[in-house]
Amino acid sequence: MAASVRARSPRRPLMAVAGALIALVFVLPYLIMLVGSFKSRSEILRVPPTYLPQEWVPSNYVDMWSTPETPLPYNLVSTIVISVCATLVVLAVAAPAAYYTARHRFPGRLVFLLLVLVTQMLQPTVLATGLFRQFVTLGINDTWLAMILVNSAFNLSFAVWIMHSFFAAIPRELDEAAALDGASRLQILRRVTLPLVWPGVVTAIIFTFVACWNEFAASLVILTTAENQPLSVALTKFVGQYESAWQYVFGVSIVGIVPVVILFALIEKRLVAGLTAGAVK
Amino acid sequence: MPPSPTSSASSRAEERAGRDQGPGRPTPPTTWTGRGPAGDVAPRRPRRPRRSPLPYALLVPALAVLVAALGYPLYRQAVMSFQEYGLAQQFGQPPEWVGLDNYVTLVTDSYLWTVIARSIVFCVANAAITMVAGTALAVLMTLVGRGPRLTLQIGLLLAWAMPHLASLTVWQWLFDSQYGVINWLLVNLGLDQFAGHSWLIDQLSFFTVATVIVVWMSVPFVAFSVYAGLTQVPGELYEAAEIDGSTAWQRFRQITVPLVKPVLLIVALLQIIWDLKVFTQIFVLQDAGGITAETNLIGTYIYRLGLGEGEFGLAAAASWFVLLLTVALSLYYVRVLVREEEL
Repeated sequence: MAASVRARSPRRPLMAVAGALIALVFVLPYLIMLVGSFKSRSEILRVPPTYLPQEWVPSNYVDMWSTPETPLPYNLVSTIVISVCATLVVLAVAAPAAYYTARHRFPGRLVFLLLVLVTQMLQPTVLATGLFRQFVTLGINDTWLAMILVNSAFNLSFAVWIMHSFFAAIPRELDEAAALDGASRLQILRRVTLPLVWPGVVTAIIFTFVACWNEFAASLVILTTAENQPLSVALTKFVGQYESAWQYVFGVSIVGIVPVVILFALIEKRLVAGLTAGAVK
Repeated sequence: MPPSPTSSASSRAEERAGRDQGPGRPTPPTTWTGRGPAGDVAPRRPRRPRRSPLPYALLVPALAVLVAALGYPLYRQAVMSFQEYGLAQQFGQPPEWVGLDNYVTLVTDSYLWTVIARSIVFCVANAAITMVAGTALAVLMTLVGRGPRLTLQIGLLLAWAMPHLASLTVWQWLFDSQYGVINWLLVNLGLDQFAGHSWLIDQLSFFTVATVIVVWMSVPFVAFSVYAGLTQVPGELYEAAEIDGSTAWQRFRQITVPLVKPVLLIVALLQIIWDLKVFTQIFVLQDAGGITAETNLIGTYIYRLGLGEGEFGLAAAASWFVLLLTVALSLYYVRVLVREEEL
């Protein structure tokens, strides 16, 4: 252990700098958006554009909540409800399927995994009208329920597959050893299996949540009432044919990312669990 | 404990017990359900319950969600692909059944094959760049301390969670021919030919810009997933290898890659599927001044056929055709993938 730390230490600061630089490249568009959200309506459309705001307008962040274009507080609630519920549904139905397909061989296993994967090959733009008709017939068009269902179906695939590969990576001997020690199935699941698959579960949660948060094509077709629409659709209301309120688009986007970061902060610790946490030794 | 594993376990034990009683009392496995409570026989824990219908119950919820949401739209799309279905039919005229006509029209149109070939090249290039960059970032996360790692992760998360409308607008500004930051930077580096250079007019440079944006949007996903996979690699393995004097690259090739292979394979497969049907980025860039015919990929092609030109029957046939093609191509990959993890 000591040897490895010593061998690695001189390169560590260098790596950290490289990481910071790469992070900067990735957040560059975000920073431009952040700066843009503080510009006035006239300045953001000015040609040639200004790089930094000549006049900072923090009131954009207050004004955007009550514009004639869209009822933003409702949109935020709508996005949160749809994303949280869809993520919970995905976890609830994907985890058992992932566990079972990883731990057992049975007829139809490959077909099931392939079928789940096929959902990722579909074109949402082509499915949209079919989805619309279906939900009108069922009487749940323009409801959160419809979008929760659609988002769950769109994102099930990654959740099943990533958790599947984490379950599959756990040596079977581990279960058997725990069973020999007299642990019950539930205990094995809680004390042995779950700590090992947490990183997979966390990745599935983040992925699903971000995907639901930004889902656009289906929401646009299915949610017609302004109050029901998520942020992704509400944003388009600020973009007009003749004049666009980009400062609001950016401001809403900045605020909209906050819940995603909060979610990450809440579950980030689980991402470093796994074998390194010492569950198996 | 859920009731189902118990019953399957005990019935299995029962079945064995029945067999143990010798040939005098043959007990066909099909009748065990009718034989008294499990308590009759000494409970013996089976290693793995097999052939019980109940485990399929674990798959049913997932299938139910998929069928409930996507079953009808897919069915309708399949039916429409065999119909003459245009704008008139959209407004109530009964569609006419035309058999395979739509498919024949498509397959004999050389433009479809051009679009498919173009999409495959674009997809392979983008998926490859994304995988390499994402994996490199994931490895980097494991090498740095908690502070820099969190900075990197949150940076990636901000990029990932940025609404597409906002990020695509910013990218368009960055590549703007007159006032874009990219041209400004290049000119200041001494490359004067980039003054007022339009990035979207030429096919190759259009796809270069598209690649930058698509990769930027996809790398966070790959980095997070692969990093999660890397947390499963026991640190002792590296230490042992390091003591043996192996180089960093050797350690990566011989320890990291084999251990995270299942995750790498599934992430790569999904990345390929997504890059093959990329839509929004191409659509927005075309809108901003690209030449549509020369830059269409499968996603925008089908969209323009359907919602654009009102040829819903043709669009449905095209998307089914592409779907079947993708399934056929990925079938082999999926089999390899599933077999891989059984080793």
